[in-house]
Amino acid sequence: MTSIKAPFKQAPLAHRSPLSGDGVQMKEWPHLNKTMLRGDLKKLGAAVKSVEKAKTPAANQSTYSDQCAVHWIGPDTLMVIAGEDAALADGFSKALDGKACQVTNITNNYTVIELSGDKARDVLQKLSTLDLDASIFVKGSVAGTTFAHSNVVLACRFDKPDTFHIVIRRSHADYLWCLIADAGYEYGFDKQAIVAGETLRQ
Amino acid sequence: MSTYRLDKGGLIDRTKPLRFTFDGKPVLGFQGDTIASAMIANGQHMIGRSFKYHRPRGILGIGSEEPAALVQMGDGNAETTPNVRVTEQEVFAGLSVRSQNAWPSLGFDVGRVNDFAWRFIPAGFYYKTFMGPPGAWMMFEPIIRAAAGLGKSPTEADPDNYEHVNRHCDVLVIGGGPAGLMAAEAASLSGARVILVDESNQLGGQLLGETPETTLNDQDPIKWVSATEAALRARENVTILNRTTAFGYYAENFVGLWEKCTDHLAPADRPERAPRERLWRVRAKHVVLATGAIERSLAFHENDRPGIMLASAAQTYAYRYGTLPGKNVLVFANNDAAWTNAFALKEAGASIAGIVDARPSVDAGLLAKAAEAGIDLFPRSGIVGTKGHARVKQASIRTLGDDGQPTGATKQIECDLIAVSGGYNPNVSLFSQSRGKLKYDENIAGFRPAHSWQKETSAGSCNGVFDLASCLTEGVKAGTHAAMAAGFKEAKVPALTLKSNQKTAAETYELWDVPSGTGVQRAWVDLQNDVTAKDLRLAVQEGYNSVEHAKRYTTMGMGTDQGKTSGVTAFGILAQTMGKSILEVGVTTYRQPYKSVSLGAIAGQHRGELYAPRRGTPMHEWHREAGAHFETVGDWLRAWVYPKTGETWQRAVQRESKAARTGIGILDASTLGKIDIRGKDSREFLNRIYTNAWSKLGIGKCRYGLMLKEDGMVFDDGVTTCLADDHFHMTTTSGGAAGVLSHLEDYLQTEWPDLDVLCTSVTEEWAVSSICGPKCHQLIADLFGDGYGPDDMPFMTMKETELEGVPVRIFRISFTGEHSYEINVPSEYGRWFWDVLMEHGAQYDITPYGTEAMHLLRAEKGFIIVGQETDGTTTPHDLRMDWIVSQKKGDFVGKRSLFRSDTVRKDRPQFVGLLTEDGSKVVDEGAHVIATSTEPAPPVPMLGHVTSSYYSPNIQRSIALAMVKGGGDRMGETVYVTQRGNGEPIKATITDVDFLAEGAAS
Repeated sequence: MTSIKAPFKQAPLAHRSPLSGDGVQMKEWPHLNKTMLRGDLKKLGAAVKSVEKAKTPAANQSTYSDQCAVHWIGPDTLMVIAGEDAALADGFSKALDGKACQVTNITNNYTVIELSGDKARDVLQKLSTLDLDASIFVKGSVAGTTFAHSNVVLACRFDKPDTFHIVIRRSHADYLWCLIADAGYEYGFDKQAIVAGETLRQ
Repeated sequence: MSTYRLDKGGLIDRTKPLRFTFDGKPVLGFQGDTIASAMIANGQHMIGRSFKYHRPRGILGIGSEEPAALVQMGDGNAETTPNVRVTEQEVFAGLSVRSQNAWPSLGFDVGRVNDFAWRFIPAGFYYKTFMGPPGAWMMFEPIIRAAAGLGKSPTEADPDNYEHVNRHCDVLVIGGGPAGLMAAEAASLSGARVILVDESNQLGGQLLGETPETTLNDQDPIKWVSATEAALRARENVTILNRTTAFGYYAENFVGLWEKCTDHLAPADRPERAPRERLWRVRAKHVVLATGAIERSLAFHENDRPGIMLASAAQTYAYRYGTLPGKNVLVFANNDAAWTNAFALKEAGASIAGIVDARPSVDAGLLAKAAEAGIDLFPRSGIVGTKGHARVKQASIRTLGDDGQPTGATKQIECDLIAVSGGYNPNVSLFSQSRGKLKYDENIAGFRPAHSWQKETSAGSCNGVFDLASCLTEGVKAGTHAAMAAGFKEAKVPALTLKSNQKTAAETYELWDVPSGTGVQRAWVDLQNDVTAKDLRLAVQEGYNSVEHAKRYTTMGMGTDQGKTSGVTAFGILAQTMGKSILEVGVTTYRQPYKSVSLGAIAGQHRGELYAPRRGTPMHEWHREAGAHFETVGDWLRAWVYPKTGETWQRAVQRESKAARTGIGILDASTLGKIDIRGKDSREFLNRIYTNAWSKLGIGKCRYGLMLKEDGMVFDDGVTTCLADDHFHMTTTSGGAAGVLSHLEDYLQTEWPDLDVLCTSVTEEWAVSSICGPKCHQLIADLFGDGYGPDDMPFMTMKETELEGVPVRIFRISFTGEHSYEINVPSEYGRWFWDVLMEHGAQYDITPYGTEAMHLLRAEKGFIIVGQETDGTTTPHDLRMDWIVSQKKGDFVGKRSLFRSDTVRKDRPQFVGLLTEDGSKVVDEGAHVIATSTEPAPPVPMLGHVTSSYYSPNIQRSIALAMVKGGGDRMGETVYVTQRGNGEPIKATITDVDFLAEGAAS
């Protein structure tokens, strides 16, 4: 066996720095541990309770415990997001073993962008057709939707009505980062040049 | 220029002069002016020339209804904007505008010859004259377009920013006039979320042009509007958008708004970060339409001269913009409203040259009031001709007889403005777009809303109710109703005291055009497109009996104004000509947009780099650093080829392909679609989804599968691996990943909900490095030790392991026919693992290869690419892959379609190889396969077509794949492949597809 260089992780937005404008900020939460749970919602809920001490979220809602957020994605689907060192998939696999449920580690499949501040809703409203009024998309709301050409999961934090987590596909991250930065240009974000300039096939 | 500016009054700020240029000449305006009001104040009505005859065109209206007073704004090749209405564009210091369709100048225009030849350019002239032989139009078109036209498009990319904004609201109020203001007031007091939009820079609508005689709560109209606006703005639940047009009313109360954010400001004053325009996409629970009414003109002989203006517009210029539109005004009307306008203009300081009223009788009170004011009256009369070039200076008036024809002597009246009113059309455009049904109201001689289709209420003038008191009341009612419909409680709206002497067009005498009394009548209906009453009659004579056809034939209402002032008049003339009622003739369809919206606003922020996602793999940066050329696969950018310095891409492909079969090649295969499938019925599910059997696939074993749609045609392919008895890892084509997942979910949710199976996309969970070539086993052994060689780990198996603590899945899968490993690591480690492979593979001269070499390598082996060999009409039998269609297992998607008469016929195209007689000749992909050595005259009998074609560096000759009719039974037959450019067809032999098989290519 030869010596192999030490492993390193690369977050999808590692090449970006946090942005700050007048009333809005954006950053990536890299490396968060993410698990997709599918199956009967009662069984999923019981597992979420036993493993992570979180409640079962109602439709279009998220619940939170000390260590994780549980997002309702659909009537048979929950997405659990926790810190980098959490090993959610193993715990859930044990709890749901033999119960006709699916536990999938999707840590690498997605990353999370946090957008916060008074103007965050105004920025998001340039990309989302959902009703994001503070009286409608309240704390703890979550929705699967699209921003332009990309699927996203948009969640309003349980404790801060002006802080949003946007869960996005890894390969769409740079495009969405630049798109959100463009939407926040009005509020002071610097425009972000997309990773581009590749030589394309003639 | 003599000044027409009044000393006081209006919403202009006389302390803020603004200088701009018109055709390079300086013009003085004030803050609050439009180009129109500033030009009028300087005594100029003529703005441009008409589309066809190049006739002088002046200002007819006050806002977006303006048909002809259009200018080119801005001088830059990128920033210039054509067809800007002078009635809407506010002036700013340094603004530069130019007249359109006039060359070399507005005053002297060469195109005027078209006017002298008007008799010979009737409706349909172009259709009749330029028919010619096929293709002739291509020659005529540029000449015609140069002669007839509007503004010029910018020639360079637009540097400005545009954006889309989405909003939901309880009540959307469109129009900020009296009805709209009261609707917003009533709805917002109830607590509803209200959006109020107005096209103009000021809320108030018709109130802004009222005389101070009119009072609301004892305030003059302008003061009342600002007080009401201030109260609305103070409420958190109200959003007011000025300079914003509701241009489209779509299904489910979805309304498009177009906001012009900065065009009214001098460039230096424009907020740096504000977009130029916004497109608001609003979903409203209820919509209040308060879009007002649009006055229409009368069609009389020579009615198109500058200085002939709508009567309400004339009053508005005086009271809103503080400028007289003319000092000696002749009024021509068929309703009472114009009399009010006449009195107001006189009050403002103009002298009234007379009131010409076409009606058989006029209200005695009005007659008395006019007499008292010393105004000359011409009852039951019409204007039969005018004089004046850049501005009207005289009108000829004759009495109208019982038959409506002019009789008696002609009187000539001097004037510098003719204020015309032919009645008012309720502005039903948005109502009609919402699919509301219209009815014709004889009292107003116009169409008004009858039946709503969506959750919407029309209020005020757009509802056919013209008097101020009713507009205000209807506004309150509509706002209250809208809020309640959106779930709010009725709020008490404070009562309003109104004092007004205004007369309206509630009783309008139906009159569309006025005979001239001579054989000649040039009475314009559509001022922009030069459509006259005569053209409309000609259209009917020539058989265009439907309004839709007559519109297209004459181009009536097809200009940038969409016939806002002319439409109903045209329908009236068409109806009269056909001897029908206007009700029977109907109206043309109102379609979105209400007015032309810039393409910038429609594109919004989604342009340039942000037009579409550019998806890169975790190893993307490495490929960039290595100088790869990329190709797009769906939204993915995949490394296509890695040319070395000085190397052509063709040579690079040959080098890469050779290396992959002699040393080690490495490919980034991360874009492959990946789906995690779990549940005790997973095998049964795969049996039904794929054509082959999955019941006995062991744990750690992989199998290739073909997926069909119900029609039996190949939809996707890929390798699926058994991770556990109830757990599978499916791969799909890169471009097909999303479609396959939808396909699986569709069947699970709608057809087989009884199956215990769940799917989750893991496409981007794993980064995939694929290595292939005779030395790949050594590299794997260097990294992972024993246990992964060809003896320990046979083809089509998978093992899970770790490298430096990172989980790794090693698959023995090959898309090249070569010894191969596809190694999956979590995406965040993708770059690290690729680096490791490159570092440790260096001793074996590891060679990265791109998708082009991948395509070549798999073609050498005769593997299909879904979408290249298949085209949605290809069955497994067509691919001669019958071996993959299980006859033993039960049903699967597409099975029954494989037994249709069409799918079993013998002459279907089948997948074969082609070897050219001369191995140095590479046939074209897509080329036709024919049976003869020369190409016969068309139609050429086709045997099939080439799907893939390469020069193979490993076989050292050209190879091709093709779909050929009955190809499976034609092995060894000679065929010919056509060449582009009529080259001699290339002789070839039909072979099997695996060119690597022993003896295959000899």
